[in-house]
Formats: sequence, C-alpha cells, structure tokens
Amino acid sequence: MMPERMQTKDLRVYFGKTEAVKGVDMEIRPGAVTAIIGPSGCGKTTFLRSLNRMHDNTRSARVTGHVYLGDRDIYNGGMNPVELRIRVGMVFQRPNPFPTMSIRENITFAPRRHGMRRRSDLQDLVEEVLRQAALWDEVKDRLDDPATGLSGGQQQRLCIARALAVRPKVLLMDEPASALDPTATQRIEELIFDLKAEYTIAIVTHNMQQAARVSDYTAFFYMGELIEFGETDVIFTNPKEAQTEAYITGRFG
Amino acid sequence: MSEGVSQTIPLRLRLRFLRDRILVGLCVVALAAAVVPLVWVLWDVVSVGAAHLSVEFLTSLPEPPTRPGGGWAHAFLGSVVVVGSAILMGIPVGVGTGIYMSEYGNNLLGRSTRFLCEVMAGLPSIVAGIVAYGLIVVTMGRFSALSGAIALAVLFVPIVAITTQEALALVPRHQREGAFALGLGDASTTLRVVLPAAMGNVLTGIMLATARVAGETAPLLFTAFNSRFWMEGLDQPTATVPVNIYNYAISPFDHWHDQAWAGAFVLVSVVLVLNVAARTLWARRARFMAGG
Ligand SMILES: Nc1ncnc2c1ncn2[C@@H]1O[C@H](COP(=O)(O)OP(=O)(O)O)[C@@H](O)[C@H]1O
Ligand SMILES: [Mg+2]
Repeated sequence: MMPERMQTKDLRVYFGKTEAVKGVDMEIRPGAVTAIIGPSGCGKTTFLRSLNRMHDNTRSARVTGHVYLGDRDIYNGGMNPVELRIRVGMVFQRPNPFPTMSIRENITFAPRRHGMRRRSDLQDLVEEVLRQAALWDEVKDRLDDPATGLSGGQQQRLCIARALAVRPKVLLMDEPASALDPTATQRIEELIFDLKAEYTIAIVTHNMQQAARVSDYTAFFYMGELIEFGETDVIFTNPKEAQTEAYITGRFG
Repeated sequence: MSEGVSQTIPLRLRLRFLRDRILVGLCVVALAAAVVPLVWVLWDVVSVGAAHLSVEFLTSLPEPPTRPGGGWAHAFLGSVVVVGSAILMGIPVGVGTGIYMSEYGNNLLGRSTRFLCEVMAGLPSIVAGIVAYGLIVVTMGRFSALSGAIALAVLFVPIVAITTQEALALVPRHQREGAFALGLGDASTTLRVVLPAAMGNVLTGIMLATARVAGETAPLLFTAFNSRFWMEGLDQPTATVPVNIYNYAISPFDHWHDQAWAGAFVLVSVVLVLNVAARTLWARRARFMAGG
C-alpha cells in the first residue's frame, strides 16, 4: 500500500463573501509528515478540510481551484466525496468517538458499511489498527465497553485507529493533541512518527515545538495565504520570509 | 443588635425588600391557583376511582344499566388497539418527518413542514376527528376502530415530528462529521450515528405524544364511536376508555357514574406512568449528554 501525494492549485475557500483561504499552491508529500502552522484564524482548519471535501456539508462554503489526490482532481475529476474520504481520512481537534458504540464497534462500523463482513477479518482488523494506534494493550480486555469510558487521550487514539481502519492513503489531523495533557500529547506524537512510513500525513498545529518534533515539511499560513513552505529544519532555522521568522520566534500570533 | 442593623438600612432599600416580598407572595398565590385545583381533581379521581376499581371492572363486559356490576374490558382492549394502531402508523411518519426536518430540511420544504407541524400540534382535537370522519367513516359507510386510530395519528404525528427534530438537532455536529470523514453516506450517518445518539429523546417524545392522544375523547366520538361488545375488527366500531368515561358520566345511573370514576382512574394512571417514564428517561439522557 503506497501512500499518495496531494497537491493544491490556486485553492480558494469562501464563507459567504469572505475568503478564508486565498489561492494556495501546495504539495503534501507522500510518506512524510507535513505540518501546517500559523496564528489562530489564519485558515489552517479551512485548508485542511478542503482536502477531504468536508466543506461540502457547510452551506455557506464555496471551494474553487484544484486539489489533486495522486493525479486525480478531487473536486472536478468525477470523484464522489465518499470514495475520496475512504482514501483521505481525518482526525478532529476534539476526540469524537461514536458515543453509542463500543470501542470495537467504533472501529468496525465504517469497514462493515464498506463491505467487510467476515468476523475473523474484522477481529484481525480491530487488533491491527489498535496496535498501530498504540492503544491495544490498554483496551484489549474491554473492547465491548463504551468508547466514552476512555480518557481523552485514549479516545483520540481510538479515533486515529478508527480512521486507519478504512485503509486511507492520507491522514489529515487538525490539532489532534490540543485537547490533551502532555503525556497523551507525547503518545500522539510518537504515533504520528510511527505512521509516516505508511501514510501521507498533514497535521495542523499551533504548537511550534510539536511541528518541529514531528514533521518533515512545514507550511506557514498567515491570513489565508501560504507564506512559506519548506523542509521543517530550514523553516525553523533559516526561514526566507520575515513573517515566518517573526512567527516562529514568537514575535506575533 | 438587630435594631442596630435595621437602623443602618436606608428606607429606600427597605421599601425595595418589601416590594420583593409582595412580588414573591403574589407568585405563590398564582401558583396555588394553578396547582390546588389540579391536585384536587387528581385526588378525586384517585380516591373515588380507586374505590370503585375491581377485577370484574377490568376483565368483564358491561351489564345492562338496570343491573349492577359488569366491566369495561372491551373498552380497555379498544383503547389499546386504537392508540396502538395510531402510534404504529404515526411513529414511522412522525420520526421520518423529524429526520427530514433536522437533517435535510434546511430549505423551503423543510421550513414549511415545520410550520405545518406547529400548526397541527395546536389543532383542536375535534378537527382531527372531523378529518378522519370525512376521509374514512363516510367512505367506508360506518364507524371503525381504524378511523379512530387515524384521527389520533393526525394528532400524534406533528408532536413526534417536532420532538424528533429537536432531539436530532441536539446531536453535536462533530458526531456527523466523524461519520462523514470515514466515508459514510447520509443514510448510514443519520440512521446509525445520529438517530441512536438521539434515541432517548426521540423515545421520550413518542411517550409524551402517546400520553397526550391516549386521553383524547372528541376525535373518537364520531370515528371509533362506541360498542357494548368486544371489538370485532379494525373496520368495526369499538368502545374506548375516554368515550366510555364520557358516556357513563352523563348517564342517569349512579353505578355508571362510579364506573366512569374507575375508568378515569385507570386512564390517569396510565398517562401519569407514561409521563413520569418519559421524563425520567429525558433527565437521564440530559445528564448523559452533559457528562460527555
Ligand atoms: N463555517 C464557517 N463559516 C464562516 N466562517 C468561517 C467558518 N469556518 C471558518 N471560518 C472563518 O475562516 C477563517 C479561518 O478559520 P480557520 O480555518 O478555522 O482558522 P484556524 O484553523 O487557522 O484557526 C476565520 O476567519 C474563521 O472565522
Ligand atoms: Mg483550527
């Protein structure tokens, strides 16, 4: 299973008349972690959600330009959102396991809807993705308990496992650790590091240490524009743009 | 000591305290005006009704008015069948309408439906009876349990539709997005994520609506009509508890009045149990949602 590349061309997102993402050309490289940083309200979430067409369900939102998954245009290439989201998974800022389902059902729900029926296959899948999400040892004895009984950090790792269970090529993460304590945050970061061999990962974060620790590439957004993109080392040690430097040295935002 | 304190409080402030007291007093009077008659009626129904309740009353058919004894078994069965049919027909329509309004109804059709439901929920119940009379009774040429059930369903559906819509609207948006992000379509998301999360409140709405229509008399007077015997089918007239209460209460016979009290007691008990059950469920659900 090869991770896939994503690319945007002149991507613009409008909410009513206001333009929240203003013509972004950017590449999300396969099998690497790309961090998206920038001050609050600069369009990070809006950008990320345009990569799996989450704006389709927001009435006021309008997306123009191009987003490619591999070489297919996800907005104009005859791809439907369901097909797209199986390949491009998403983890949200606040853990959102399905509250009426058990830990096991949270994972098997989507794969079953997508046609995986054999009990043994599903059982194997549950163990595999829980191990990948570094949660197996903590929950293996209570797979049929409600998912809401888990701690926040565990719930977030369950959401990651749930996303992995549909076998995506790309994983989008919107501040996945911002609601968690430092220990849980560290576990999520280790997890991201482990996953990047198999997945293309884009992670939004407002925590610059986190971006520096987990990512290979960093994109700096400001007021809806992509100001600078490059290898994380370079962005953090030797940025080209004055705005980037000001932000990472903590002079604004 | 207390004198010393009261001397330090200016007159203006003391007048304000007095005004507060008067306001609270008036509220208590209003409350009493509302609650006392209610408790009185309930107490009457319970004390008089329970005194005339018997196994015979619950299990046998009526005797002619010249003889004592007999019971309302046929009316209890009739009510169960008429109300049961009404909710069996009404649940899919009401819940379906609620789902539409909540999940897909952000448009003219959805908003008009909501408006219509609100109007219909405030409909005088006798109008529902007239509708069912015109549509079913006149067409079939006779009174029937079915026409009574349809009249009750007309009252039941808008309540359930509105409570369902509100129950689904309480399910946070991030639950739906979690499902969409896994590549699930509208149908799976609605039926397997949103509806289960809202189920407690949906059931509460159904129970409250059931309690509401179970006691309706006017819509049944000229639809289900009445009978002194066991119901012979959905296409035949049938006795029901509320209509029996009405008929027995206005009769000239003392022992029939007693039976009307007993019937009222049974009806009030069922409605009360449904209401308490629904509200307990609601409270539990609210705590569950708040607790995350
Ligand atoms: N659903 C929405 N409707 C209207 N405006 C929105 C919506 N979502 C985001 N915005 C606006 O778009 C801009 C970017 O927001 P967002 O992408 O959430 O920023 P970030 O994630 O970088 O903090 C903000 O000005 C925000 O108010
Ligand atoms: Mg954000």
